[in-house]
Amino acid sequence: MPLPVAYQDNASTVLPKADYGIKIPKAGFDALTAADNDLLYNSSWPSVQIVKVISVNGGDVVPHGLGFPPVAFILGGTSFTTTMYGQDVDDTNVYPRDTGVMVVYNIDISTDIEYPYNVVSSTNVTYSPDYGIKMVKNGALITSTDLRDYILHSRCGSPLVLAVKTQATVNPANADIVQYTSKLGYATLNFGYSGRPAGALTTSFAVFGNRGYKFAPQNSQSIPIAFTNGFTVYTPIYTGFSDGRASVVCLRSPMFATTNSVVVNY
Amino acid sequence: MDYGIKTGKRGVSAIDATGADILMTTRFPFAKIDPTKADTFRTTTVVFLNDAPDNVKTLIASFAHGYTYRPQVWGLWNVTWGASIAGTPGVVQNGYGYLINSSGIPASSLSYEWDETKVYLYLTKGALPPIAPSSAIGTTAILSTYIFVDDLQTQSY
Repeated sequence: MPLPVAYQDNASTVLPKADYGIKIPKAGFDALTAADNDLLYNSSWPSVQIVKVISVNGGDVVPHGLGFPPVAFILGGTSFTTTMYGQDVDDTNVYPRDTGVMVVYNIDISTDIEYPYNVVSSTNVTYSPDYGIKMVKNGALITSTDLRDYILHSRCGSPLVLAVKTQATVNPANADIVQYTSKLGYATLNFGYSGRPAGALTTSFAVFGNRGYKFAPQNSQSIPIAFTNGFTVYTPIYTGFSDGRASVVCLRSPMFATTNSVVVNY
Repeated sequence: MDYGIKTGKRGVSAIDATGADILMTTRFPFAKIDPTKADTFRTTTVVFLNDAPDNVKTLIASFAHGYTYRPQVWGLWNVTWGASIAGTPGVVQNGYGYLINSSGIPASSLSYEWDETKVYLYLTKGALPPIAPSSAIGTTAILSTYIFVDDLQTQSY
């Protein structure tokens, strides 16, 4: 949807590409020179990882054990608030607002960070079973053919974090707006959060602890709201509601992915 | 977990690194999309040549996701709403999950659900005739689905 107001992006804080770590190129490429989308795996990629999957009810208080406020979604429901809907979080807990299955990811929404991975996804996904990296979960066999048994498997790609932008880097031209624009060139998954003081109530009427964040939905009828057109995302730092903190989170597709495009006439 | 792979950022011991000082760790499983399966990263474009019923969640498309269990699924919409749809007609809207085209009433919405075999796309076309008649014709809805290997069974790391 067209953004209702044009603001200025937060200051850029793009990290340099690390020149250390683990890189595994696709067959025929040199790990030292291969572009990111010609790699099977790079330990510098800010890959999305799963901390917890749990069935929840609205009003539950779910410890996440991370020490920072993470991204958490309820997935798989049939309503606005249970179909990939973000949850209120703080340093210690997630506060689900509805019944469903909640997935917690290791994405810190409180720390400003921006990654240099703006190359488009490759569709070259040829897989060789005798090449790459894989690590099984505790108790599973390295010979397993069920990819759910693996912590890491270079046959698979993971969505990546493009940026988390916070109040720490707002543009002075609009000091009450946290905004980020992706340089990727196609639409990304964009989310917003509004900081809430310790002791404030969550959406589910629990009480926030330290560094609480209320999820800012798209198209909400009440604050907080995150606005996005797929490329730019912003959320206001709501005076009188937030405690001066807000964040936007931008996630991108994996570095390699087969895209099957289908057109259906209704 | 006292085994696996962990990389500290430059200047930080991997053994001691915590939080933002960790470049990479296998403490948590990676969210995995298997690109060797055709529809794990699929873009479905639904072009509305015909109208849909008023105020009823209507199935508009479906496809097999390729797994025999209920996977984790993310969805990203890019929608051009028709010029005669109730809510906010004629706009282009991007968003995730359950997408609503207006904060007022009537509003139209697009959503997706899935089970152990398929992903289902739905339109709920809002209407309030005769005050706010509505037509889906002219709407184009594009949904990019991220179908993960990972399922929705309880797990904690």
